[in-house]
Amino acid sequence: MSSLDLHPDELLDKAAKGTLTEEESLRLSAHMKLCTVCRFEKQVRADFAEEAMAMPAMDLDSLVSRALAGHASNVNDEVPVATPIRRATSRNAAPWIAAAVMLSTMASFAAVQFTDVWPAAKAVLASLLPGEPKFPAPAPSKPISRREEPASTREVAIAEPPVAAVEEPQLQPDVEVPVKIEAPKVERHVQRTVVAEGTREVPPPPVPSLTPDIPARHVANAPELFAAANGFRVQGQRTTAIAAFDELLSRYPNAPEAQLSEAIVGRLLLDDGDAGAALTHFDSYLRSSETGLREEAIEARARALRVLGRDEEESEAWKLLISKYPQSIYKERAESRLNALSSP
Amino acid sequence: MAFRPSTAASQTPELNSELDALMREAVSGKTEAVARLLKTLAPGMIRSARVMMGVAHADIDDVVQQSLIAMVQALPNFRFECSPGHFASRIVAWTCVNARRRVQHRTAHIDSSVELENFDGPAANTPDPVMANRRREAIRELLGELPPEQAESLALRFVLGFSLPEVAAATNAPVNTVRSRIRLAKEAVRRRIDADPSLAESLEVDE
Repeated sequence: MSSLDLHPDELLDKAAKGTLTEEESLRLSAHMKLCTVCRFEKQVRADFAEEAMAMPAMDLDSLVSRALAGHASNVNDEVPVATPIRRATSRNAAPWIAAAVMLSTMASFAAVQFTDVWPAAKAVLASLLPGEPKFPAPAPSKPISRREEPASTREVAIAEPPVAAVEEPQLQPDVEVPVKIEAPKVERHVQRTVVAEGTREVPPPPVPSLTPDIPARHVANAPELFAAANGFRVQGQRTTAIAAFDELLSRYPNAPEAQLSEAIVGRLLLDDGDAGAALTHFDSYLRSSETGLREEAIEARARALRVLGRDEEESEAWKLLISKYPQSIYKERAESRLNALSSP
Repeated sequence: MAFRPSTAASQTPELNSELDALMREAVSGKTEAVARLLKTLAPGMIRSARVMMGVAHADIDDVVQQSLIAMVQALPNFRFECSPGHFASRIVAWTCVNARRRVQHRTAHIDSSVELENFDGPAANTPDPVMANRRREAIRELLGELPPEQAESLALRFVLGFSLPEVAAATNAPVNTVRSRIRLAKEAVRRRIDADPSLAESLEVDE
């Protein structure tokens, strides 16, 4: 370690506050002449400060209300939507989806451990941070109680997929997944994880325990599936995330998490270039009572319509965005597109 | 000059005590208090997120939203060992560091041999705003490359202008630990400058 590695951080702090004594000032100057890194630090702090001061304001109310989406009142705006056509769930990938859901279920155990506050928001909150957040004083995890689960999240056993079908086996490396020991060599009643098209609106029946003494395998409820799917999304495993969201939509179509998932899947599909399928999901979301991502969904829907070349509908979508959210951060984009669409 | 987010860290004692009271209500789970707290802290958090990620970054909206949501989630864990503003800043730093790491991972396959400056003429003639942007980007890239603890400390200090004790309070770590993390982060900064000496060419030397 050279002498230059001993950076006078306290003196830099004092310099920032303007409380340097004359002697300290001389010491700091002597160091700065020799130390490129400290000169760089001083300059880059000023650079960041300058950039921060030049930033425009954001619509605070909108952001805060979205952050509190779990508490927001369910106001269902009138939104014109296209005929809902659900995207095929399985796409002949049943084993693969089954694998994804099994991984999702395992991951969600850990994800929901720190989400025992404000139940309405927990599915969203629990899943958006990758890995275990290292905030101060993590609250003791609360065991998941089956009795506390909402009635809408009916339990369904998860089929065990063939290992070879797993395409993205990287499962949240930072998360310690509790493993539940299962009853060995007992023939199980296993519910298929993929519901055929046309029947997906019908939730599968509950699977009873095998015997009074041997509990059924772990079952994934809607918040758990949502947390796992979002975990995949955050990790960049988009395909797996979409499959897991699809599974959630298939199993629990009426759960609040499913409504949110429509918007998220739509966004993922739009980013992947599948504007048609994305549009279907945005329409489903906008017809729901969920409001947390409404502004984003309207904006993304307009972009999907642009990709599809449906100019009139795109124009209507941008107008709707501006009328519903006059302070939207997408307002500039909306006006730009409206101008472009109105010009000959 | 250092940027200080407009949170409790830079407010008067009266406002701090008011914010502490609001924080206690929010921690107890009162939704209205949570909303008021977010509205109080959000401007600083948003600004911090934008500075750390870069205002033109494609993921900035997501990061802002995730930071606010993470703030709500983390409230029950707040132990009043630092100010609410520091707590919020730390959450933003973590969210940004994680986002940066994901971006770094996503772009790992991009051919870095093709650089824009190859087409922009000599770096020595680059105007200062461009150099300022390059310096900021160098730090942002490091946020995605350094170990998380170092990246967090670097973000709080270089980007938000926290002092060592403030970083220590926000991260719930001893000052000497923070000092060590900052030193390691500065070594990485030095390596970055060594790899691209033009980053340091326009730096002023105090007389």
